Amino acid sequence: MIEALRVALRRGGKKLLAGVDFHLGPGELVAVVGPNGAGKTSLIRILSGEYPPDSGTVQLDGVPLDRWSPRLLARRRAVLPQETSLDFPLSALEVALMGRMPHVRSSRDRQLALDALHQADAAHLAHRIYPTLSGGERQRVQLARVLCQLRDDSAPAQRYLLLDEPTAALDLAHQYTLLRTVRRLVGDGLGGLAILHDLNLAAQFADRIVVMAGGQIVTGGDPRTVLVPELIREVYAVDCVVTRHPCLAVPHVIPVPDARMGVGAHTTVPRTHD
Amino acid sequence: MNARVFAAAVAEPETQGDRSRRARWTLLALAAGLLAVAVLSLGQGALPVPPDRIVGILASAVGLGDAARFNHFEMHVVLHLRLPRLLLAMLVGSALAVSGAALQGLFRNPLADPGLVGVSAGAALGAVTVIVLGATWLHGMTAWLGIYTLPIAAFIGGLAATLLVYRLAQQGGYTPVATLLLAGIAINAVAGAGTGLLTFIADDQQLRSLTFWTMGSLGGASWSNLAAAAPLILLPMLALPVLAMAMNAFLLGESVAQHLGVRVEHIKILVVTLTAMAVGAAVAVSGIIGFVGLVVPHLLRLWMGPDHRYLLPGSALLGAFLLLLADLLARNVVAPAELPIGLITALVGGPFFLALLLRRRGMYS
Repeated sequence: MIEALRVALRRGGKKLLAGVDFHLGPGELVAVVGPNGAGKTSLIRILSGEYPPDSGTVQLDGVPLDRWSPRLLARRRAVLPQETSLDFPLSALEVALMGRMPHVRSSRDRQLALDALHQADAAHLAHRIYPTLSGGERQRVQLARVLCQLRDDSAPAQRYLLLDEPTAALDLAHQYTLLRTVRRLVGDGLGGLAILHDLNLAAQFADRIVVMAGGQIVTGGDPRTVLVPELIREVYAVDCVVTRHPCLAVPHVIPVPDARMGVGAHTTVPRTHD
Repeated sequence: MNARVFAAAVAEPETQGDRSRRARWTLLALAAGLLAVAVLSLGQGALPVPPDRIVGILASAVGLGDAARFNHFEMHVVLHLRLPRLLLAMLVGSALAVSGAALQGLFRNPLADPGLVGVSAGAALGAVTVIVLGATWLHGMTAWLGIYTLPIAAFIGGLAATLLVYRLAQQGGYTPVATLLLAGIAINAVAGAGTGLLTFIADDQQLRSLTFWTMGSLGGASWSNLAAAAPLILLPMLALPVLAMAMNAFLLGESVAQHLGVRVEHIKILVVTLTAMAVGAAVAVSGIIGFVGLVVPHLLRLWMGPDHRYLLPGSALLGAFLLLLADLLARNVVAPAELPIGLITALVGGPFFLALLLRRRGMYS
C-alpha cells in the first residue's frame, strides 16, 4: 500500500498540497480528477518520492519513502509522465529497455521489453527512432517502458503504477486500449493511479474517483456517488447532467451549455433535464 | 493484427543487437586506428623515423631489445619530444571529447561543449590567475601544490563555470538550447574579461606563457606537465563510463531517471566534478581547444547511437584520434613553423557547429 498522511507540499512560496490523506492499495484503479492546478501532478510527485513532502509522510508498505533505496523503490512503482521529450536518437526498444535499469541485468531483458511494447500496442515501433514518433506513439512507448519496469518475476511483491494524464496525447482507440491494459494489470494485483481529465473515462475504468481542488482532496469514492452535478459545479464551475451510461452501470456526465454566458445559444436542442 | 505486427517487429533486424555489435567493432577499429596514427605521428617531423625503428625505440625504452641499435639523437627526439606530445594530444583529445559527451548527457542537449558553454574559459581563467598571480598573491598555494597548481586551478575555474551554467540554464530538469548557449556566451564573456584583465597586468615573461591560451597549443608538452595533467584526466576517463547507465536514464529527463532508481543528485555532482576535472587539466596543459567535445560525440551518435556505455569509451578513442591527426597537421602544414592546434579544430569544428545549428533550426522556439 502506498499511503500519504497529512501531506503538505510547498514550492517557491506556493502551496501545492495541503493536508492530503491518500492511499492506493493493490488491485485497485484510482482516478484522480480535478481542474488544472488542483495539485494532481504534485500528488503523483510526492507518492513517487520525486518530491519529499514538507510535512506529513508518504509510505510504501509502512516504510517512509526516504528510507527506501531508490533502486528498490523503482522495482515497486513506476511513473508515466505527461510527456517525455528526448533529444537523442534512441530507438523505441532502447527506451523500453530503460525500464530494466533498476533490475539485475538478464538475458531476458530484451524479450521483456518487446513484450511490453506489444502490450502497449507499440511493437511495430520497436526499431523506430523515438524523437521521430508522434506524441501518441511516444506515450505508448513510455507506457511500455513503465510496464517493463514493473515486470519482476523473482519477487512476488505488490507493485504500483502512477499515470499522469496517460490519455492526453492518445486518440480515442488508444485511450481505451491503454486503460484496458492498465485495468487488466490491476486485475492481476497491480495498484494503479491515473490522473484523468475525462470524467466519463474515469467513471468507466476506475474503482474509485478522487476529486482534487486547490491542493486538497475534496472527496473520493465510488464513481456513482462522486460524480453528481452539485460536485461538478462546485469543482469545475460547469453545469452538467449526469445520466446512466447507455451500456454500462456507470454514471455518464454531459456538460450543458450555460444560457447566461451565451455559449451554445445557436443550438436549437432544448434542455431536457435540470 | 497486433500479433502479426508483433511478429514482423521481431523478425526485423535487431536495432539493439545491431547497434551494440556495431559499437563494439567501432571501438576496436578506433583503437587500431589510434595506434596507427600514433606510430605515424611519432615518425613524422623534421627528423623522419620509420615505423619499425619507432617500435624498436619504444621497446628499448621499456627494457625490451637493445637501445644501442639507435642513435642517441633519434631516441631523444622520439622519447623526449614526440612521445610526451603524442600522449598529451591523446589525453587532451579524450578529455575534451568525453567531457563533451558527458555534458551533453547531463544537459540533455546535444549542443553542449566545454568550449561553448564556458567550462574551458572558466578553466583558462583559473589557470591564468595562477600564472600571473602565482608568484605573488597565490604564492602559498603554488608552493603547496607544486606541479599540480596549474591543473587544479583550472579545475576550480572549470567547476565554477559548470555550476554557474547549470544554475543559469536549467529549468525544471530540462535545459533549453537557447538558454544554455546564452549562459555560455555570458560565462565566456565574463571569464574572457577576467583573463584579459590578468593579461593586462602580466609581465613580459608571463605574457609569453599566456599567448598559447588564446588558440590552444600542444607546443608546451613535456614529461613534467604530462605527469601533472595525466591523473586529473585519467580519473574522469575511468570513472565516467561507470556512470554510463545512469547517464542513459538522464536522457529521458531528471524525474524519469529518478523514477528509474537513479540517485539523480549524486550523479549530477559526480558528472559535473569529473568533467570539470578533465577539462581543467586539459586546458591547463594545452589552452582552449574548441569543438572536439562537440564534434566527436556527434559523429559517434550518428554511427552507433546515444548509449553512453559505448559513447564514452568511443569518444575517448575518437577524441584522441582526431586531436592526434589535428596535431599532425598543425606540425606539418607549415613546417618548420607550427600552426596552433586550436586553429585547426576551430576551422573544422566551426562549420560543423553551423551545420548542426542549421539542421536544428526551428526546433528552438
